[in-house]
Amino acid sequence: MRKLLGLFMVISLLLAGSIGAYAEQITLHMWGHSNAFFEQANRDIIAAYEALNPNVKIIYETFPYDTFLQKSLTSFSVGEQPDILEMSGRLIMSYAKNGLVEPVPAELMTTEEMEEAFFEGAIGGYKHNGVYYAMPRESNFEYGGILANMEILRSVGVETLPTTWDELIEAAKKATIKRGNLISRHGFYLGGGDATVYYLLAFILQNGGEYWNEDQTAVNFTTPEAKKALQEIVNLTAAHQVMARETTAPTDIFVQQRAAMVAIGSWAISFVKSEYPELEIAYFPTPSVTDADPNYASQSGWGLVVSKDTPHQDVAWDFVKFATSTEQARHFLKTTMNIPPNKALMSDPELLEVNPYLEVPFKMMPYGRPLGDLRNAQQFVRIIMDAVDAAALGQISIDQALQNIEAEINQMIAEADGR
Amino acid sequence: MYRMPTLKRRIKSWGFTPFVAISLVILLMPLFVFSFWPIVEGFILSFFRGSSVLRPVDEFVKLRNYKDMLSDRIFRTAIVNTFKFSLMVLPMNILLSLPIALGLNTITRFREALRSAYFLPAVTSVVAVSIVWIYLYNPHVGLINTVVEVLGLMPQAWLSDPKWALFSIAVMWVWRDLGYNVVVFLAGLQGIPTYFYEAARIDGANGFQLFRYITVPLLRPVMQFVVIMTAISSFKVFDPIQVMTSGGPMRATTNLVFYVYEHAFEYLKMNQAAAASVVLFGIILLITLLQLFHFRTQWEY
Amino acid sequence: MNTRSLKLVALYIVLTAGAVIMVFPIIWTLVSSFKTPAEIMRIPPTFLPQQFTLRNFEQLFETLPFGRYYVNSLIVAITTTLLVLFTSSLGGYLFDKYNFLGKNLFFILILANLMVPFEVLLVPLFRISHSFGLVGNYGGLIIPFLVSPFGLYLMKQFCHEVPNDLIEAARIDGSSEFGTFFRIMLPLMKPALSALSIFTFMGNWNSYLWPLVVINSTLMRTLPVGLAAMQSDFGTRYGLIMAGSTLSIWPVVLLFLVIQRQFIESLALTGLKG
Repeated sequence: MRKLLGLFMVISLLLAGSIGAYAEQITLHMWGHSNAFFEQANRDIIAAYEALNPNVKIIYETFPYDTFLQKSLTSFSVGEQPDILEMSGRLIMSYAKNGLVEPVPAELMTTEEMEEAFFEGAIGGYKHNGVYYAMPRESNFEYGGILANMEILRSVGVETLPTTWDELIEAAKKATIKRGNLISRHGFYLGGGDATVYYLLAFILQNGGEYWNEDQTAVNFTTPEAKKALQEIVNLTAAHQVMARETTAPTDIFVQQRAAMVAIGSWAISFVKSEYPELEIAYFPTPSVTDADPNYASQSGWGLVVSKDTPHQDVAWDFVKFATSTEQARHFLKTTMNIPPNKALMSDPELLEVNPYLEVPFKMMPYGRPLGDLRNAQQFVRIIMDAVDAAALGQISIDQALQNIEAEINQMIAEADGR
Repeated sequence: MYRMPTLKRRIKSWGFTPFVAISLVILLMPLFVFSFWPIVEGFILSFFRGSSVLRPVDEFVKLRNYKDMLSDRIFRTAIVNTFKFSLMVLPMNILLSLPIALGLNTITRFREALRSAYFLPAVTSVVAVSIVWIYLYNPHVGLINTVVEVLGLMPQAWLSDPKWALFSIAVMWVWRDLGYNVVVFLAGLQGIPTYFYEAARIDGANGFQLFRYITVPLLRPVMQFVVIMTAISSFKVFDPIQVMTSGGPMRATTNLVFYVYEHAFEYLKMNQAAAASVVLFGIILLITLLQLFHFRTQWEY
Repeated sequence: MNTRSLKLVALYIVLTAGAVIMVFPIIWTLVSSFKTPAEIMRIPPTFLPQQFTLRNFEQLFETLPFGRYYVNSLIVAITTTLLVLFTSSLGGYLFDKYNFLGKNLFFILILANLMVPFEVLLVPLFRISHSFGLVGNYGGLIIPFLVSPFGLYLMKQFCHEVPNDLIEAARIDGSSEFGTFFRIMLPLMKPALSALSIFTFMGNWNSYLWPLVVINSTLMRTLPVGLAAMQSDFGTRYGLIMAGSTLSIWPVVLLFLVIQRQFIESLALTGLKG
């Protein structure tokens, strides 16, 4: 009898177990951008999550960044969006404002817990009306680090890395090679979309200025500080002639050995090291342009978001929390060589061992603050780029360029705020 | 009983024989679904504003999207660039492809191989060759400046100088698109029956006269096709601009399509994008109708 | 040598020089795909690889199911080409040799499709395809492109060269309208069909944005979409791009050169017999 009962119990347990497992089998879709290092890290993290949660299956697909915008928007337009998206900090706010993504639920992490766990600069760009819309995977670092080709620098007699802005310009002048009206080797290259914009904003802050009004409802670029800042950027091409703008990506210019120093985020190092191991490189903090601290404003980087109106949002958020936890973040950052967004990973010895270049961002991060609510980050960057280009090429005056920036951004803000 | 036959007769007198009717249905049905409807939707969107990119028809705003656009400096630049680009590409393309086709039509040996060579760029992926051309245009290592210097001219920063950027993309686009027109012209030339030429030669016509009085008039339908298609494709060029310059430097290569793309997918402003594409549509339609009309009146001679 | 053959020699020289310029960037892509990333970037540039390597190709094959991508691309390109050849020649014939009410309007409507950039149509077209169940399958890659306004217009212009007497003669012989189209028109449009088949096949082979948007699963991707996934956002991996475009261009160019003539011949022949 007992034997029979035991058998019965075993069978019913097995049955219940299998039915339960069957009923709860959940498939999530996650989309990311094509990037070998990100893909590797994500696959590992997904495998770890699936091992802990056997009833969850995550199908992960990647698409090239250039077309990610089209891909994701079309899928949202028919309600076929994936549950989880790995999204660039530039896009997250636009998507949040258009009601495409969910805010981070308070049960998962309250606003206070978010701010406790992550650097302000890393998550500032995800915040809208006091609520966060994404969990961060990295800290963006467009301002703050310079990648140097040591062979070139030594060949022109620069033995030590510059520690002040004047030394930087001096070294850059030595390393620049001109060819007619063109520059064939840049001494210090600052370009490629984002970097110029973030340098301009950092220069304004370092000059003691501010580009926002008090409640962040309008920008103010017609200040003496902004004028000094833009002048400094224009000087690189005009007065100092240590660079000329190119359409080639800064990383490509660097690996072609056509620049001695390039302003670039530390994420580029993993690419340079793996593809061009023969280059002798150094990475050092960008010196402040004034005597003040090297203050800068930073954009939020790659984050994970959960789409509106998908089933299994709780599971999706659970995965996102797992993927951004200290332990998984460490694995992600070791693989992608990105900069940690988690305060717990500041100066993490394990990370530093894999990527010693992280010392630079670690040194710089106390000076960073969030950019502010740009309304439409893509357009914000575009407007500044156009004006800076025009000023650098001498097509319009510095004052005119700043007036353009101020007027166009304020118009964009007014439009976005429905005013 | 009485009405049916007249209706049938009338339909027939309109030219809708069973063959015509069936063929029209086969051709128009997919077009209605997959092309007219999206176009009509875009047209409707352009008169609305939405609360979100997914709900783009919330508020009827009449012509506000168009008015905003007209006051946008970048939109005006985009219109100018769109026309400039066509005016660069169209003559370059025709003045190269027609002589090449005539030459290929004259020779007999290696004609197939040479034709394939001219067509080869057209089979490549635009994105991949755009990356190759960025390298060719590189002011320092690029082949183009090397050649320019050998010719004793000034090397330029082709893609990053606003004076040259649009022209540089136009040259690349002619290179990539030329093969289509060579092949079409050649097919047109081969379609001209040889007995026309033989008869004319017996009448004592010389080479130029053969070209002027036989080739040119008989090639006219093909010429019409080539001009219209090359114009349309030059108005719609996008991929090389996105890959090579992203509309810069200083908006020098921002054309209407790029403007549309930027608003739709980067700024998530679908309604403004729709308005801009209606303008682009209007421009292309007008120019196509003018060309069709122009070629038709020429046929009257 | 007389002036005539001198002229011919000059013509060959000019045509060959032009062809070399046209082909150069593609040949350069081909030879560069056998170079290391460092050599591709070297200054001054090298033409032939000094350090021959298959690393780029190995890396591609390691990461991508290439065979599957080829099959996907072939299925889509061949099917679309056959359908477009049929609809284009039918449409061309119809719009050139027939008169019916609203013909010009219909024609402009068909051309109108060409006047809107694809980037604009993307979202509405995707919604419509989705409502027809055409997302994520071959149908979604083929059916929206059944009728090509470009092809139709091309064939219309070529039909214009066919003398009307031929069609009249067939009609008097008692041929049906469809019969006239298949037996008289198709064989006469051989050169144009040959051109159109290349255009359609190649256009489809390289088509990128739509397949990317309409296909989610990695296995259903076509070649250009699969290759684009190799581009990384922080530096151009020239070696992989060169190898990828080499792999996507050359096999299909060679294949096409070999089969194209037979293909067109047989097409015309069936028309003649049928």
